Amino acid sequence: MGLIDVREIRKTFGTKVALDGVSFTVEQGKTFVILGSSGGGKSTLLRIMIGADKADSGSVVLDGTDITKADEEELAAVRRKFGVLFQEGALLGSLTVGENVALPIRYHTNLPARTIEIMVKMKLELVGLREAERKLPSQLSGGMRKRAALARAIALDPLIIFYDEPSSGLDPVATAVISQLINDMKTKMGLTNVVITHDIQSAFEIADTVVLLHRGKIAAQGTVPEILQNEDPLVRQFITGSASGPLEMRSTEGDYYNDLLNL
Amino acid sequence: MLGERFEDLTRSLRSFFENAGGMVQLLLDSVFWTFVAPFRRKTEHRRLTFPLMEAIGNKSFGIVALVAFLIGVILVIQTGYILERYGQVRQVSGLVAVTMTRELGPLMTAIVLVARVGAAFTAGLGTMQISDEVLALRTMSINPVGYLVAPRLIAILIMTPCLTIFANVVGIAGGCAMGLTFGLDPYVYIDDSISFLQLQDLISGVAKSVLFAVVICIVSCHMAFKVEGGPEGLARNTMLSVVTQLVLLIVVDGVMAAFIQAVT
Repeated sequence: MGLIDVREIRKTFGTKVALDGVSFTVEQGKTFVILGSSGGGKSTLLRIMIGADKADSGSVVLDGTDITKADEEELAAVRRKFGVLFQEGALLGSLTVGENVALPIRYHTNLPARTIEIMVKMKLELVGLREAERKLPSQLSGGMRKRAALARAIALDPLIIFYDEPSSGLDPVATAVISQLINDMKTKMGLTNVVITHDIQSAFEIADTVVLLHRGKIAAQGTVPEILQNEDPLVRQFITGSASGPLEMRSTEGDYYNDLLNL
Repeated sequence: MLGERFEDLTRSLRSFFENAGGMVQLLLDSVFWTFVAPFRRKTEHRRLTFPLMEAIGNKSFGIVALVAFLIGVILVIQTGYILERYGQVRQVSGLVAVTMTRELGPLMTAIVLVARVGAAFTAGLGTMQISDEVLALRTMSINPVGYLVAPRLIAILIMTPCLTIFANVVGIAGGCAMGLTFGLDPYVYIDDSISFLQLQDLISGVAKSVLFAVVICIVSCHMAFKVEGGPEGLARNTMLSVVTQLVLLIVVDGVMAAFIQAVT
C-alpha cells in the first residue's frame, strides 16, 4: 500500500462520465504525474483527491484515511498532511506574499510571531522569492505567483504536494524553474509530488510514474521509459502532439449536412 | 409547452428552497464561528474584523449622512405644507423624529449598506470563489465561514446600529434645517423631537438594524459562495444578491413592524 491509494473512482456529471473506475497507487517520496488532454478528467480527479468534491463511488486512502468517507473534522486533519499548488496560485489577494505563507502557520500553530517570520523567510528562500515577501500577489508575474503559492503549500511541512497544471501559462524558463522546484521538493525535502498536467515535456522531466487519463479512464501507466516505449496509438499521439489520431479534438456529434440544411 | 412550464416552475422552486436552506445553514455556521469557535480554537477574528469595520462603517458615514439628511429634508417638505394648512406645523418635528428612528433611519441605512457593503461582499468573496481562493483556504484546513464570514458578521453587527443611530440624528438635523423655511425655531424643533421620542422607538429601530445586518451579511456571503461559471456567474450572483437582500429587508421590516406593534 502506498501513501495514496486511489481505488475504482467513478464520477459522473449528469449523463457525462468524468471518471470511470480509476485506480492507482502513489508511492511515498516519488513524483506521480497524471497526464491527459483537456476534459479528460484530470481536474475532477484532483478535486476528489484533495476532498473538494465527492466521488460517486470508490475510495481515496491518503496516509491511512479514506477521504471519501471522512467527515469535516477528519478531512481537516488529513488536509494538514498535504499542500496544494493551484493552477493560478490562489493566493489571497488582500494579503502580501509573506502573509499568505504565514497564514496556515499562524492558524495551526501557537508559534511566536518572530518564529513565524523566520519560517516564512525560509520557505520563500526555498522557492527563491525572499525579496517578494512584502509584495501583493497582483504585483507578481505568473511564475512568481506559482512559486509563492508553492511556498505557502509547504508552509506546514506536508507529506504530499498536489500541483494543478503547474506549468500552464508560463514561459519556457519559468516552466523549467517550476519543474526544478518540483524535483527539489522530492529530492531535498523528501516530499511526495502528485502533478496534474498536460505539458508532456515537463511531465517527463519530473515524473517517476506517469498515468495517462483519457475520457475518464487510465489509458496508460508506467515509468517515463515505459510510457515512451508504449506503442498504443493514443499514447503515441499524446507524446508526439499529433493532430490526427484517436484523440479527437473536435466534436463529431450530430450530422453536419443536416445542421446546414436545418438553418 | 405545459410540461416545460412545469419543469421551469419545479426548477425555480428547487432553487428557492436550496438557497433558503443554504442561507439558514450559513447563518448557523456563522453563529458558531462568530460566538462559539473563538472560545474553542484559534481564529483570526481580531486581526480581520477592524479593517472590515473601517470598510463598512467609516467609509459609509458620508453617504449615510447625505441620504439621512435628505430624507429628513424631504419628510418636512412633504408633510410641512399639509400640517401648516391645519396650523399644526410644529408637529412636523415629532413626525420626522419618530419616522426616522422607527423606520427610515434603519431602512435607509440598510439600503445604503446593501449597495456599498452587500454588493462588495458578494463581488469580493465571489472573486475568491472563482479563483480557487476559498478552496485554497479549505485545503489549508481553514474554515471559509470562520475566516471570511465571521469577521464580516461581527463588523457589520457592530457598525450597522452605529450608522443607524447616526442616520437618525442626521435625519432629524435635516428636518430641523428644512423646518427653518416654515419658521420653526431650531431649539424648539429639537426640544419637540426629543419630547416626542420614546425609548422604544429607538430600541425598535436599533433592533431592526441588527436583523438587517444579519440579512445583508448572510445573503451576500451565501451568494458569493454559490458563484460558478466565471465572471458571468459573478455578475449574475452579485445582482441576485442585491435584489434578494432588498426584498428580504422589506420582509424583515414588515415582520418586525407587526411584531413591535403586537408587543407594545
